[in-house]
Amino acid sequence: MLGCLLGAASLVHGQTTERDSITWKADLTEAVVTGERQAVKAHNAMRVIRKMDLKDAAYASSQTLQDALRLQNGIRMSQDPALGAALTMNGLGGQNVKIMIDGVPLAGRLGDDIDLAQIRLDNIASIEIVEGPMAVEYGTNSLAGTIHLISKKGQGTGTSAEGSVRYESVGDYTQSAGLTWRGEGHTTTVQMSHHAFDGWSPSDPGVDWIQDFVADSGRVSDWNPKRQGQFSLTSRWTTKHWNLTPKVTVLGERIHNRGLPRSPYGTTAFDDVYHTTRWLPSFHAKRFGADGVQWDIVASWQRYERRKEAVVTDLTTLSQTPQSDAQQDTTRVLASMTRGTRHLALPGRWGGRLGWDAQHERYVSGRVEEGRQDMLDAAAFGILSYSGRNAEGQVGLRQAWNSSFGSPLLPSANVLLKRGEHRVRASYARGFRAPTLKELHFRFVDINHLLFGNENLDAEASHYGEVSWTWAGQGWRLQGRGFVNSVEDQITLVDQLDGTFRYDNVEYFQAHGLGLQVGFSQPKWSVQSGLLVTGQRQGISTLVLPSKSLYTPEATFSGTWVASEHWRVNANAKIHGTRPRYVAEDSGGIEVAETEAYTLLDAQITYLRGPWSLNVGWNNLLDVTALNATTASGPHAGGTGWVAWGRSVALTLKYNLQRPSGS
Amino acid sequence: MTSQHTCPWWCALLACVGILTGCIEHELPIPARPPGDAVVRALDMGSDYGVQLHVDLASGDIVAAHPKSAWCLRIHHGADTVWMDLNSSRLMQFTMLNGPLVSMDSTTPLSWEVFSSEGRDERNALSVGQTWALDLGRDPLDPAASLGFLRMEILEVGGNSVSVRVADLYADPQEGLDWDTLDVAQNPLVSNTHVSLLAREVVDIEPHVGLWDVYFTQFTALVQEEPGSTIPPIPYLVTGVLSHSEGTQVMQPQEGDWDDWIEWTWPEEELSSDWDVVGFDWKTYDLDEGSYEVNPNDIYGIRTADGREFLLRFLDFYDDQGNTGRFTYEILER
Repeated sequence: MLGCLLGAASLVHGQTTERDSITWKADLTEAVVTGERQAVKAHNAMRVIRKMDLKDAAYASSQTLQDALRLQNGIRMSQDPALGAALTMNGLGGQNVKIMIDGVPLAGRLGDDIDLAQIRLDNIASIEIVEGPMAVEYGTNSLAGTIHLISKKGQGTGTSAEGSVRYESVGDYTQSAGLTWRGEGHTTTVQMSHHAFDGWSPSDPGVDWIQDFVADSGRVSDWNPKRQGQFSLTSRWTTKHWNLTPKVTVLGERIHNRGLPRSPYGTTAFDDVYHTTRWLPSFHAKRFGADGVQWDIVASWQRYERRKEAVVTDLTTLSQTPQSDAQQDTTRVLASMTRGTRHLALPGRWGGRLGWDAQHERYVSGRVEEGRQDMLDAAAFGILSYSGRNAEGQVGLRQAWNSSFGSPLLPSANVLLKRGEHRVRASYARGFRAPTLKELHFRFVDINHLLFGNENLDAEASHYGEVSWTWAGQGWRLQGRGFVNSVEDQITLVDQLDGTFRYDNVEYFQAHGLGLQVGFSQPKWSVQSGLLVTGQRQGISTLVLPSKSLYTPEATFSGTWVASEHWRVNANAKIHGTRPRYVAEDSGGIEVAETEAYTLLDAQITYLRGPWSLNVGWNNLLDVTALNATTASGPHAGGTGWVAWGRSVALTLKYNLQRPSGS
Repeated sequence: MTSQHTCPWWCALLACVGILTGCIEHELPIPARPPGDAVVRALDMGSDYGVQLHVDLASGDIVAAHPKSAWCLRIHHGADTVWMDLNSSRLMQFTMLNGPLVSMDSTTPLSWEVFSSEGRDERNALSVGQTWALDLGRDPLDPAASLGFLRMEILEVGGNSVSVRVADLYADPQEGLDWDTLDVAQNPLVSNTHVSLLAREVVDIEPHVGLWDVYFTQFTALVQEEPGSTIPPIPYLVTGVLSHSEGTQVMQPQEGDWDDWIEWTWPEEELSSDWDVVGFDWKTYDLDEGSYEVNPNDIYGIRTADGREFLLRFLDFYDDQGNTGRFTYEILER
């Protein structure tokens, strides 16, 4: 029974095979959990949930969330040398994409984004992507969608150990190790990893091995060198009815932003070193009854700190002198949260959920009013669901109280119709995004900056509607989907035309799209393809923009061939169409600027033998690095951005050792 | 992928842990630079650009220094015109009113203007009966705060004195304005007579004529987003050098290098009396680097009122701690 319980959280609630204990027959590869009472096949989930199983060959070379998402439809990645990797989902990014690990929303955004390269996948089993707001269940910050990372659950018996080393030819080195042991009523996992990246610029050699370098202009990299270390400890304790999971994850990162040798003699440089630490302890408790999950409670306390250490480096001695205090900066976020859900079995085919969701965040920085600001958000929510033979539906409501601003009543509704293997879904959700403490209380005043928050901001609000159809059978899976997302009162930093900048509710955003996905799987091979056309309209209340939407096509292809017991071959591609957007030109008119189209193509071969696996991945085969935006009148100023580093080869060697129980 | 294995299972783990420290490439120092014979000087304005410096080029001395809050306007008696300049280091602005008793409040839209950093034009000329609305600009101690707004009526303009009265711009004339009258007498030893409207007094801060050549300061420049743009230029605070000392002329040659202009004859038509030829654009802000880059290839020829000629180029805008506001420059007298 123990083993069954251990896996209960991730199993598909499909067919009960034993009644004297809580046991489900499962197909783990198709199970999703985001927004569901318990694990359910994606085909039968209430929402369209895109699941990425990281055991798939397509992700064999992925080590961070940035790597795993870069070829997903609807998602665009960008890279900032100081801030890290960010994404937009169907045109919305930053604060509008919620990222959670096992139900715990990640805190610690720099600018508006969480650096996706700081989210390592060493201990992650799968990623689920839900587009559109899930505000009733998860609250703020999900107007675009939710990315939910699900940790490995430590399947199997006995004690196991794993280790891996990885080298990527741009000068990227990773080592990781993990140990799982199973005792009476518990499974405990320790995982640690170390990652070093020596920086990359287009002028770097194709194969960049460890090679010391002289402190001249070549010391500067477009992609900054960094080191990361991560440690996590997870223990799952199981009693007759409870599944308790305390967990702690710690990440440390050091990014070195080397400056150019300074004129006229080139003997000094201004360097910045960014130290980031993330502490993420959490506690997850689930109570199971005969009918499945009864209580689902999660609590966490996060600490995020990013310290900028600005130094003057003497390039003749490499000694470093701290710059003045004004050049140093430390930002600290302390976030605690708890969410609890009581699942109710109501008469007949009715069910329900009642729950609470409370979050407290403290933002400490020299660049907010009084150096420290707090926000408390507490909410109650309820979901009523009906589960018929051919139809399911649910309606939800959430009412929150916030210490800084008023929160609207948030409704949502979902319908799922089933006929054979056909599934038709319709959903509506009202979303909102609370202004952040930074947007409310920011104050950055010096001789060069006059930037302010705004305590009178309203929450961003959205209406999201989606209709989809899915059919699965005989190895095929087809899906069509259409959506509309309309966001009002978007918050942005606005030039007040008096030399100051202040956050204000001035923008609106509307996106709509049509997507089609086709997949075919056989035991030896599988292929998948997707097409998505997204139209966007965005504007500023103070500027009249054309009402015509601008459309961006995207397509993905993925193929995997299991050549033999030992060999796997996989290729993935994503074609990004041109991305148009309106820009204000210096002449005072409005022009359309287009970011050029590009294609990312990866391929990999995996060799498996006993406890060993060797993966060779060719990343970014078409060598796409930076994109330019152009208008009809020529290049658009400031329209260049990094997409990826250059073509590279990654070698990953893994060793996975299982020691059977009792041996 | 798992297997039963006869080797101790921890061997693989220990091997992985052992290499967790990893390797990363290291930076190697460059050779130290041998000392040269250039005349290099440095002036420190502070990272808040809080002071204004009158400098003598021959000696490199700071002849006078004062905070940006020391003065608000200065009066210059020309041959047949009396001119007024505002302290543009605080982004002071002006607009003309239709009379001294115009009623307004802080929401009344006004068409604020700034004077040109190049030099004076007809807008700078004073005449009796004018009423100016003055924005006193930003508080140097808190750049987010305003120093306030005044109305100023010109009562008398004479050959060697000016009389003005000032009151709060947004006070209600119906309730009576609290006027302060200032008599500004010309000092024949200085080019400009400075007045503080904050203290309502004449202040003696400018060195005597002939003792200084250039002025290191923040000032307001009208910056065009793009050359040829139809959007009006934006008043913007910049930091650099102005040359409004009487008789000083400056050129910025577009051809030739430092060594060439030591030898070449300076063409008279390139020597300008504009105040902002040196200006601020010998440095640019590099958004990628997040710091100012100084272009030492921008060289300036300065002829002082007494005919001495100096070549000047900037080398740095930072101090040893990475703070902006320290001007390091190379200078050579021909």
